Amino acid sequence: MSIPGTKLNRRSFLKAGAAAVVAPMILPTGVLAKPGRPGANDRVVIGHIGVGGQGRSHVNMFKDNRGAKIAAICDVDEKHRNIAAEIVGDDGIGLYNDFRRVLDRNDLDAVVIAAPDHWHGVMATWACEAGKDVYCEKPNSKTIAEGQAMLRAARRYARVVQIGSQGRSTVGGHATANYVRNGQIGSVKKVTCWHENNWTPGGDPTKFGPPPDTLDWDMWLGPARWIPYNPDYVHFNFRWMMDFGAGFIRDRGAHVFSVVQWALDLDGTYPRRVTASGEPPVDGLWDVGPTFQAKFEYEHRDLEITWDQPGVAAADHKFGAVFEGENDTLIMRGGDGGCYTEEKAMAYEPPGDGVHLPKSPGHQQDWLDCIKTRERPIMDIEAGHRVAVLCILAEISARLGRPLTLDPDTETIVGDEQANRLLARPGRGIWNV
Amino acid sequence: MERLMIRHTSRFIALAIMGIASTTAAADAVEDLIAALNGDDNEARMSAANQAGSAGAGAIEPLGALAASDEYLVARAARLALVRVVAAAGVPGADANGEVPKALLKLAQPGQPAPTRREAIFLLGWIGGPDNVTAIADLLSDAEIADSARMALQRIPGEEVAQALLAAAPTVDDAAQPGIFYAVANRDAQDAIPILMETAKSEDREKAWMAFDVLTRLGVAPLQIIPRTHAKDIADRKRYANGFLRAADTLLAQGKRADAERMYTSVASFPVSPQHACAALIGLKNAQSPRLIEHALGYLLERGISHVAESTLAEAEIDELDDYLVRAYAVTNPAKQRVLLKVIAERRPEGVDRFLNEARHNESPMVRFTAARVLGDVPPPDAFEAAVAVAPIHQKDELANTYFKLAVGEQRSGNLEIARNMAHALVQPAIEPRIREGAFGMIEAAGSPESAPVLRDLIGAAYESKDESDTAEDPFDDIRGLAIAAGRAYVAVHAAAAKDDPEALEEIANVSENAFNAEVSNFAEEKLKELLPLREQDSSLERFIDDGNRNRAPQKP
Repeated sequence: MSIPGTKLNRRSFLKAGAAAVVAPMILPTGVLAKPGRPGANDRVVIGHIGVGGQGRSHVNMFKDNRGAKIAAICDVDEKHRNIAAEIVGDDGIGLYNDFRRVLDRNDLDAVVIAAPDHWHGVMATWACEAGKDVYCEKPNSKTIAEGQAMLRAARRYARVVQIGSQGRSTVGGHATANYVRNGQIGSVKKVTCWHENNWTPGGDPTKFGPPPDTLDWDMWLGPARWIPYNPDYVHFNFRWMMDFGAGFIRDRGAHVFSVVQWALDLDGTYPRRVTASGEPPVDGLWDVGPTFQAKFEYEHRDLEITWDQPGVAAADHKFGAVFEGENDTLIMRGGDGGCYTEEKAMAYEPPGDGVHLPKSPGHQQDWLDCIKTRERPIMDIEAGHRVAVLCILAEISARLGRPLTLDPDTETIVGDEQANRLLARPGRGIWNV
Repeated sequence: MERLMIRHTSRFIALAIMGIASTTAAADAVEDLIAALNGDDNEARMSAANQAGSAGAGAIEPLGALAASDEYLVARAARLALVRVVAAAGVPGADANGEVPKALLKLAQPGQPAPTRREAIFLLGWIGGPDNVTAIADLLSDAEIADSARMALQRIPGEEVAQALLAAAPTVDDAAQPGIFYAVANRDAQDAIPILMETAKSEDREKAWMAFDVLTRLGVAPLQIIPRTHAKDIADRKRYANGFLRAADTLLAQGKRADAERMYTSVASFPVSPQHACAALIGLKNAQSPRLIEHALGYLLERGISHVAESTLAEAEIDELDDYLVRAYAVTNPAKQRVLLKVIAERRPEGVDRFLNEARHNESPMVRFTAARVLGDVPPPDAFEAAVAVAPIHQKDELANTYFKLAVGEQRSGNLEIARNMAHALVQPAIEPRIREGAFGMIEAAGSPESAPVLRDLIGAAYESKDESDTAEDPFDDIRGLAIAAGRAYVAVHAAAAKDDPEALEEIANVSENAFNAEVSNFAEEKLKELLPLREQDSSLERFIDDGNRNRAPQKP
């Protein structure tokens, strides 16, 4: 007997069923752990890529997490590498300038990517192809094509990929989403997001010059088109340049929209029409302007989401969102790791048959847990991609100065060939997904 | 006829005059724009740049000159104005004659300042059409701008691009070549294979591996490119295996299923890492290959692969797979039977309910537990404990994770006693620490006195030993949070028991003194303060409170 079209006969079939047919020459890192008392070999072995600012805070958090072990630090700035290595305090730790050497290491289970936005697509995609689980900072990607590549790679290589929109792991974000999802303010027709202005104009255009010896400028630029070095481009300030970021619509938009999408059950959907605009900065180095407005109109339901910089602050916070329901409103302050909501939402407990959104034990911990269970994390790559699409479409609409109509099935722009060209960004040199 | 000619001539003259007027107006607008950009007023400059869209192709040359200005703000405003012009021309039908890309091409030529060239070539990617491809490709041999030209070409749709890139590949600078090769691979240009095969023979290892990488994206089998023995270290071997997977994916997309299947099978048989085995199984599933069955069954218990083996079998669309799964179930060991049961339940073949009901009476507690679960029952704690006792190590974690979720579901449904008893089973030492932490949280939230004896057996001794020795080891210090969760649960259930059990208060006081961490100690103190007014008649409790601030353990007899 054999399965039609194959060489699998009954003998080999029985062998396959009864015992391990294939004896792989591999030793997973956790295989030797004792039950109930995870030892060092049961820890998720991590490499950090990008360890300035947010990346350094990840190093601090994972260093103190007994479920993780940091074994590699990578940054194109030697100073960052050294500071992070000092935080970890392990003489045996590997220090790298080139993230590919981190991906080459067979003893690493996972990587934390906190490089600037323009690197996310290449690094995360290649990390998945190298078999690493990934924690990638938000926003998911610089372009929609990169986000698609990341998602494809994550699914193709069965990787656990958490995007760093932490709002879904906060008590406030969870309470907001639970409250709205369970219909406590009625059907939501409008969400108004407010945010303080971008921190522009700024940067000093007189500082152009050679990069310091401690910084690999070419590697910092990576897939982005080449521009001459100015110290005010790095490190935090990448977000004020269109080539690397696009202001808070990406930076905090990826936080706020994440909770909004969760609360409105929009993870599987897209807006139909996106209209955005922003004024350019009058002076300074950076090319991201101080203000930005975006409107997202949905077709499958009566809903409009707006992003207003500066907008009208509905509460004493620099940013947040107002959910306007048929019966009531709900104000969410923040949306990132600091996400707060109204008392009525905090006190709300859904009924047994209500919607119970999963509770995260903390964004990083949720990722570590999922690496072990192989479940999808709370801000899985797919949700991260869909949130980033909102930010990216707003960016493109503002750049082109016209509204965009999205085909949600193909993630392309209807009837606008030029806009479609901006959905992807060819990378410099080999840095392509 | 003559009258008609006169009328036509008049119209022509009128149109010509209008055209001249329009041209003059456009020229004036461009002049105004350039003047504003060169002016001293920053706000006026950026406002003019922001509204430059209507300036049209005529503005491109002067804007290009300003884009190279030494005055940074002038150059930046000129770049913004160029973006606005190109964006306006990108509105469908707005630049029918392609005047804008023609003007940009002029700016991209040698002799123009480098910043101007870079900006022009960048924007050609936004607006250039098939007519411009050859001219842009000519710039690929110009080292200063070659990579920018390649990036611009990649954005332009049409078959001409791949051919132009390929034609330029042998002549370009070494630095620009990889980008060109990746670009042609993205367009699936099979014509690139011969030149890439030559490049793969390069002595330069990076160059050779780059060519290998691109060739596999085009669907060329790794063995045709580089002998396997050339992959010397682990990084090379992984790269080689990745080549197999990439080539197989491409071949599958091209409809060459048998070729793809062979490559996936090769990786699945000799994986460099668990991840490669996973990727190969997913490939076999995507190829709807019957070879998936033997490999996935082989990996069903392999940590780091088992989850993919399970999911691929559950999702695969392969003829007669259901029959084979049922027969495999009949001859395999209980650990695999348990997984196969889940797979079969998910696939729901005909007669599945009868099959699952029979599994309920299986000899193995693991199988019985899983059968009950997939049939929608909540197995009792003793069934869970029996299953965990015999399960392989990583299945223990999975069983506990499953049971924890069931317990949470029971708690939400208001079945508090059932949930509590399930949580008691989940806090036992054999369970994964993160799940124990969650179960302790459930017990704390339930706050039932029924839990007090269970936790006393489990935790009480630790506090006793701490009392006797400052060097006592926290038995819950496996992960951050577990010790806190255990301590809080201990205090909460004893607080609930305190109404009827005076010794419960003593236990809380003991924790406040002997807890392994401050958070638990403080929690115990808070509980004592809450409970004290309820027992105010009992003056003996006063000894737990010192100045209303710090608690002391009761004196031991």
